[in-house]
Amino acid sequence: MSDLDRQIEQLKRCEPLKESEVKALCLKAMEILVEESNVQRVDAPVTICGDIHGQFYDMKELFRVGGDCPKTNYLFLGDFVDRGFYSVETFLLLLALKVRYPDRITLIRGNHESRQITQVYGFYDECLRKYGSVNVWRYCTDIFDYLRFVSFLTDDMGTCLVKGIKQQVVGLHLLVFFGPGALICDFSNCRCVWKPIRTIDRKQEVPHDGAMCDLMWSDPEDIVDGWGLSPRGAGFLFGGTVVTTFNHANNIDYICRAHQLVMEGYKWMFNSQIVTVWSAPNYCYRCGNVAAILELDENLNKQFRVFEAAPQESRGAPAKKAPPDYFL
Amino acid sequence: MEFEVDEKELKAAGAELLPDGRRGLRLHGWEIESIKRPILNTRQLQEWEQKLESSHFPEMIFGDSSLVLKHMNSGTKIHFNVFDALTGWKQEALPPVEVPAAAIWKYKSESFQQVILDYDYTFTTPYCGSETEEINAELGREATSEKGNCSLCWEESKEEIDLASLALKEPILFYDEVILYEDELGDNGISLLTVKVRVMPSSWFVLLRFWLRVDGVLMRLRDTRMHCVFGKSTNPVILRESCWREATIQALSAKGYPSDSAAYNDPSIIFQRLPIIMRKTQKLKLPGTP
Repeated sequence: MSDLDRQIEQLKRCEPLKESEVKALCLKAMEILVEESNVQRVDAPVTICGDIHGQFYDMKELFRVGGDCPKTNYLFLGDFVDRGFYSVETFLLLLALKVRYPDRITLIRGNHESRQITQVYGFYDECLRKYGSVNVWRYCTDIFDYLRFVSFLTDDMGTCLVKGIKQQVVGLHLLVFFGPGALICDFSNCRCVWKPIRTIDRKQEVPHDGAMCDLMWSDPEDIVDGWGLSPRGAGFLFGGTVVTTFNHANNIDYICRAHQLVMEGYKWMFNSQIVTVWSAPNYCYRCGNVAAILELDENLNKQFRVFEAAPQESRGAPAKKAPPDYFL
Repeated sequence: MEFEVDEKELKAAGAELLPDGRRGLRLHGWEIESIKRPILNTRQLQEWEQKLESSHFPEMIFGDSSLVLKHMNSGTKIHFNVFDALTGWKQEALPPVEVPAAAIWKYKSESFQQVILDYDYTFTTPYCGSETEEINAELGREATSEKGNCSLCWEESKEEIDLASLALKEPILFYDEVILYEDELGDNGISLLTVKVRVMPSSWFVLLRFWLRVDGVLMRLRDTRMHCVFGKSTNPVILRESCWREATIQALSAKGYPSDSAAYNDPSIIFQRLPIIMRKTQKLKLPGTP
């Protein structure tokens, strides 16, 4: 058994790797990821997964329902880390699988795969707690910069996947991006709208504005038809007409995205023009939601597989007795 | 993590746990229960959209969760629920808080037409609990009279909650925390409404807390504390203290405090850095036994 196979087995037991092993794994991953362009084809059949957020035991449940990698070809739409208790093990397992089976798993960058966000929402603290230093966090966040944020998923007819949605006038081209998600379309008819995405330099921290930021931060919104600006003053919202027009112009059947919590695991919007897939059941260990993955066969026929959180007893961490809280 | 209670202490205090797996207890004529349920599903959300006339809600909305403290003799119910809290949010309707990146976005988004949404995405609420009277509860028919039309009336008070007695390490017979709603502000911070309760042999104490952190912009803490000392009287008195605190990150960093969000994860540690902007104490005398 190779070192890598042994590490995968270890990670599957939710046991983190040594710091030196993480460093070596990240270097190998970097060699693979640097060769991938921002926009790349993924061949069907494939299973598309949404947010995981460090819920390691629930990700194991996902693999139980969807099948093991490499038998099943996976596309993860990002947000692997933060919130849950096991961001380290979750991300390292996915990364180890990527290194071991580069053609059978695709990892897209979510907005949580960022230095700034992980310092606020848990991954940084977890690395510090588990390793006593921030080195592992540094190795991992360096890898985040190499994750691509757009994938085309294709069969003979073609399907493509993109994250983030946003409109920008670039010369005479109307450019539209889509938020953590996937576009199901005819690759050969897909217009040159992708070209500007190819030219973004992704090997950087997610900036506060610009195309890369737009890719990560936009959401569909029921009450606008065209484009909306978030009440936060930053972040675009897009309505039904935008999606319909884009899908029509580019021969896209529908968009599959992640990034937003859905109680039922997946949710269609805008007359089945866009679907949100969410893969973290019982989000933050308290929401009580189910999760879903989207399986596409070689002809892009779709099937949603809905699953629940892993049973409490399989989680490893025993439910500790809480000390009385004398809050004031 | 579940709180485990000491059976002996329960017995010594004359308390009994609620039956049928319900969380809570009965003690000195009060029935105190916490109810924790999953977030609302899509169908329920649609109903709430109609009832509240809003199409925007917190991402995690525990609409069926609540904390209920019922005085059994008078039928008075003090409770904390999401619907009333969001009704308060809708009524207050604060203008939106802009995140730091907004300046750049405004400039670059001038070039095409768009709708600017202006609801208060922080879900700031003045909510400080609900109270109702259940009439004929003993007949099994609940006629709930709404606030304002019943004898329940909070009066201004000069008294203060006796924090010294609450700081004593009296045994805790029941403790729970119920999250009412939570939103991550699209990863720009947190908006969280929770209610905590602890019941001791001598009193019950509740802390309802609205906590908001908009990264790089501001923090807002709206606490409501309620305390009821068990006594011989059949007409218990509840003290309610509301304290609102708020500070911009700019003001905090001018005072030499850190300005990064990671330093402000736990409001119970940093609350003293936030100046008080509103404080009031009220008292509710429960009506006598009908």
